[in-house]
Order: sequence, then structure tokens, then C-alpha cells
Amino acid sequence: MGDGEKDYVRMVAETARGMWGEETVQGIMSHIEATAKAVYRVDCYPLDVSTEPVTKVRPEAG
Amino acid sequence: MEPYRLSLSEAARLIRDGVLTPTRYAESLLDRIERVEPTVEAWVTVDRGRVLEAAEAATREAAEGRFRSPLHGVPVGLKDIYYTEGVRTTMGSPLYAGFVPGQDADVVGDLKRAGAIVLGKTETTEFAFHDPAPTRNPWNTRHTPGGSSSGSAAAVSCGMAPLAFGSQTGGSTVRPASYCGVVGYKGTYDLLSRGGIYPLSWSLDHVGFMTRTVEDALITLKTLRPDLSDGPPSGEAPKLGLMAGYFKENADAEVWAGFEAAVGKLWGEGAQVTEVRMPESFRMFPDVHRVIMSAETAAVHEDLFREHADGYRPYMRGFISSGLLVPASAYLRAQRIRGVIMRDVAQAAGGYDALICPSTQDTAPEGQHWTGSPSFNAPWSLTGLPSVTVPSSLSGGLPLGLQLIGRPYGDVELLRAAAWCEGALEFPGGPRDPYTP
Repeated sequence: MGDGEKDYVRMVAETARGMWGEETVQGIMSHIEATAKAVYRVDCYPLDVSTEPVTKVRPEAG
Repeated sequence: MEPYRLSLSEAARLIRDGVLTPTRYAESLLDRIERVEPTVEAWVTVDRGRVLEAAEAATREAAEGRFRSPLHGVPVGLKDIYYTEGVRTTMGSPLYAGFVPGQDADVVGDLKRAGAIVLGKTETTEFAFHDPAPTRNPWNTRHTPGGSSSGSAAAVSCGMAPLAFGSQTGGSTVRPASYCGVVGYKGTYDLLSRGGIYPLSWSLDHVGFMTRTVEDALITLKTLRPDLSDGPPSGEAPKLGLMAGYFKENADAEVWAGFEAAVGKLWGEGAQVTEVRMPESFRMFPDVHRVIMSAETAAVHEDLFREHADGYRPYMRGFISSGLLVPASAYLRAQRIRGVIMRDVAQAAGGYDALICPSTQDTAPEGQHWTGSPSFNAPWSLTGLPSVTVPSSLSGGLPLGLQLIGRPYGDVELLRAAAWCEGALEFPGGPRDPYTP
């Protein structure tokens, strides 16, 4: 796990503690970590707006 | 032969020929349930009186020469997340222990109109997710049947039902079907309506069902979607794209050895098998699937969870909580990457009748504490491609499955390819008596 991913997981865990308290978060930390890691990796995956099919952005159309 | 031993297609033929009445068929299945259920625990609700009443109506119609469809008089199991009018539907959760829907799910209505008989409601993991049902695997009752459609797979495997419906968001139809040695099919996304089925993650949820033969699955699909084209003539050896890479790296050694042996048989019978290189974007499927599923599951449960968090079991509670923390931008980015994966996989699959890989990464795990990994099925829930498992062989006394993946809306063609593979693999069929070592 790189520093960016660690920092992001730490930030999400802090947010969770703020919402539900330390005791509750301890019991669900494995879920919070796993989902936060997935979010981080999704955020880091490069999307080419000229080819990705969902937004259908086509530079030549502009 | 006791009618419960018949496959769906055999029973349907006998009903049509007037040799077997729906009432006699239903009685045989109900008796089988009475004998086997204490060991397997596949059912939440079976109402003998209601089943026999429906069977007698189907019998009267048959006697008058009225056959509504090939499923006329065929009893069907339904995962306990399918709404059934007047019949308790629990979602595997104490929060819905007393819930009785006022209407049928779309598929249930279609089945009834086709003359099928609702045999009962089958066990599911909590809200069709992770926390296990009590059901045991008929091949070895010390092992899980898989999940989340645990009861449906076990019921078909040991002859308590010829057909049972499940759902799949990750691997909840194909995995339990494979673990229990039956055929499990989930269609192209939304080919069969999700209306009236309790959602887990709406953009990933699929209707699925289990049978003991591929022919039975094809009959069921064609009954529910008579508009589907017949596809190419059956009997021709299919062109198959073998996916190694991720699947080889993550399969247990005995699973991969069994898969290679199955591929050898298919090749020996004339199938064209070539290796397919999966696209670069495929590596993202576990993260993309998790982000989408956690966010959507949290959205489905948010209101109920706020009021009744203690009514959820621990794994579900943690997963919903984690989904509440997913930023909207990440959810949407995951959906965009999903689009890339779908496009890339569809390109890789071009030119094949089906892609193939093992149905599961392992055989059914020992114990009842979890239902196994959906990792070999989740890609097809994410991409919405139709998939089916066909039992292929045994490893350590437990079934292995061959998973075939088709093109979007190429469901009939996929099942025809699966039928060809089923014939080549020659897995011993018939209902399984529960075995406890």
C-alpha cells in the first residue's frame, strides 16, 4: 500500500470515528479499510475521456 | 421411478403425455422435502396445502388438455427475496420475519401464468449478501452449499425441486450451483425482470436459476422469454475462449487441474479452444465492483439501517457502513470504469461462442461460517454478461464446475454451447442423497 492509499484510508477511518465513535468503528474497520482502498484505486485509474464509453465525450464532436 | 428423480424436461414431457399428473409430481417432491429437509435445511417456507391446491388446479387443466407452457405443473423453489403474494418473505433477516407481500415479483407472476407451481421459499444469506443461511451442502453436509442462493442450489441438488430461482450480485447463483453440482444460470443484465425482488445493489443484481440439466434451463428461459431467438443449430462443437491469467493465478491447484481436464475432454470431443488474453482494464473489476456494490447497498438500506442497525448481522453492518462513506464522485468513476471493462471484455469475447473459466476458485469450503468467494463470478455480474455453470467433475468428493460466459443477449446461444459441453463432460446427473461423513 503506497503513502497516498494509506493517507486516504486513515482519513476515511477518522471520518468514520467522527460519525459512529471509536468502539463501533473498531468492529467494522476491515470493511472501512477494504472499501476505502477500492475507492482510492478507482480514483487513481486513468480514464481517457476521448474513448471511455459512459460519458461519451468525443473531442471531435466539439 | 419416483417422480422427484425426474429432471424438469422429463417431468414436463410426462405431464404433457398424461403419464404424470402435477398432483402426483408435487406430492413426490413434498415427500422428498419431508425426508431430506431436516438434514439440508434448504427451505424457509413450504405450505403443503397451498402447493397441493395449485397442483390440483394444474392437474384439472391438464386433464382438459389445457397446457399453459412447458412449465405447466412444474413445482418451483423461490429464493426468499422474491415477493410472493400472501406468502411470508423474510430476506433472511429478522427485520422481515413477519413480512407478507401483497403482490408477486414479476418473474413469479410469469411463472404462475405459465402454469408453474410455487413449491416454497428457499433459504438465503441475510439480504442475499454474506452472513450465511443454515443450509448444508448435499454432497457433504459439513460444507457450505455456497451463497447467497444457498437453499435453491441445495434443493435442486438433492431432488427437492427440479427448478429453483436465485439472484446474483457477485456470485450468488453460479457459485452455489457449482458447489452443489447443478446447472446455474444468470442472464444478461435485466433480461429477466428484477421487479419485486428485494435489491442488494440494483445495477449489479441479476435474476438467476438452478436446474439439474442445461436443457431444463433452456426450457425455463424460453418459457419466461419466448421472444428470444433460437440461435444457431444445436449439436455443433462450440468455439471457446479459455481465460487463464487472473483465473489461473487465483484458482486452487485442484480446481485448475480439474478445469484443464475438462478442457481436454471438450477439445477431445471437437471443441475449438484457444486462450484469450483479458484486457488491461479487467484487473480493476474487484475494486470497481466493491465501490459500486457498497455504495448501492448502503443506499438501499440507509433508512432501515438508521433505525435498526442492531437488527443486521455484523458483516452486513460493516459493509453498509463502509458504503455510506463512498464519495459520489468515486461511485460515478467506478461506473465509468465499468463501462470501459464492459467494452474491452466484449471485444475480447468477439468471435467465440463462449468464454470459459472455472466456476469457482475452490470447492465448497468446510464449515457454515461463510459461503465462499464470488471472485470468479463477480466479473460477469459487473459486465452484465450471461453466464452459466455446468458440473464438470469431482475433487475430494465435491463438485467442480465449468463456467461459460456469453455475449450480451446471446443467452440462448450460450445455453446451447453449455448443453454441448454438458454432453461432452458426462457428469453423473440425478438427485443427490445428502452425505455426512
